[in-house]
Amino acid sequence: MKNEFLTPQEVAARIEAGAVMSIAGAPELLSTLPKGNWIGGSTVYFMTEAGGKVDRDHLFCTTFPEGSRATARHLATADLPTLAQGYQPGGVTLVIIPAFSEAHARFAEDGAGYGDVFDQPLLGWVSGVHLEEIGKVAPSVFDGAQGAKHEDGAVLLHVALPDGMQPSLDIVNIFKQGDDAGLVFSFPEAGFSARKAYVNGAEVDFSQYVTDKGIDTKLPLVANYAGALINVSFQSVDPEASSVAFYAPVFPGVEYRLAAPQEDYAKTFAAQVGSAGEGSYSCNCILNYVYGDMEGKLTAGFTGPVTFGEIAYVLLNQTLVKLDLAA
Amino acid sequence: MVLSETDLLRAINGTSDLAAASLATRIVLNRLRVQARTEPAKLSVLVADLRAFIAKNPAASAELATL
Repeated sequence: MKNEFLTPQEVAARIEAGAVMSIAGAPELLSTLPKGNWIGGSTVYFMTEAGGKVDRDHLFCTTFPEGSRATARHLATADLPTLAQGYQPGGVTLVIIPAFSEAHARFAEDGAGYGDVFDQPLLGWVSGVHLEEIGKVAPSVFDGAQGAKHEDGAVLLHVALPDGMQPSLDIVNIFKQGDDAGLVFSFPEAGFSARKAYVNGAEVDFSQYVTDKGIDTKLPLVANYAGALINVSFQSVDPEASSVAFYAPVFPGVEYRLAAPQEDYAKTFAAQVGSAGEGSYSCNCILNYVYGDMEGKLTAGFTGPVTFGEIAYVLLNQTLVKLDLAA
Repeated sequence: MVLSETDLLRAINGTSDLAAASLATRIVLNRLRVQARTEPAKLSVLVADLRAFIAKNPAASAELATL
């Protein structure tokens, strides 16, 4: 795959030439693009070859190899459980969902239960806005086939890959479960917020617990999914309302531990992935960008949009998602 | 590689990591393990779900056989 940071005019030329593309950028730029084989999502944060940056003048484009065929479409929230019906044999599906939308919540809580959803790589991201625009501007997604902007539902790009090409989807999570392995959190209900939690089996007011213990909420809770470390990031802690909000749902029956502290996100990331990333489709989390002070810093060769949530079959937080294609 | 009922039950009831498995296999197995803990009466349904996943994702069979 080819990753490029292009002007809208350059992107329009690629689309009109028939390229299959995933595009990220400012919505006012995405709105100018012609119809074609693409989907898009709003963000102004990017990891580029020159490092992390905010940009409203360029679009980040990943172009699939020549010979790829694709169907772009918008799916209403109520129809999300059917998303795998569009899977192309042997292909991959990209999905972009607007942050804070009903689709965001429904996919996060129910997506792993959608029929056949694990039958091919499903990856993508949650679109966002500039952090100063939260609550003022709605994140959006774009269906290139129809040339339509949406603030709810999901846009999907079902890609059929050239013969013999094999996709590989994985995540890079620099966070590990903390050294205090005896401290286990669980939750009685699924959701993006929690009032009660169990700490080593004992029920607590979670907001009070987090406050009293001085827990660093820049670090996520980390669950071990049979060897895959899956984060849930803190959004806010409100002891007066007895509520803790998260950027992804917690689930009952899942054991969470606090992440170990990170001294330097960029260095830790580089140590984990080396020089990998060129030619990969990837996206990374706005929380890593902000907490890791990533402006001007590199994440090895990984470039792509900085997002309000990452998707690799399920919604993720503070994680880099990557797709590689091999002939 | 064909996994027996016993193999699938051991995978679902176990806690071991699938270090070299695909992300899909790890997430699916974790989901089934959580359901098995919260709804143990549905174990036979969960085994059928895992068998159906393997049927569509043949590589998962070898991945699960490492448990």
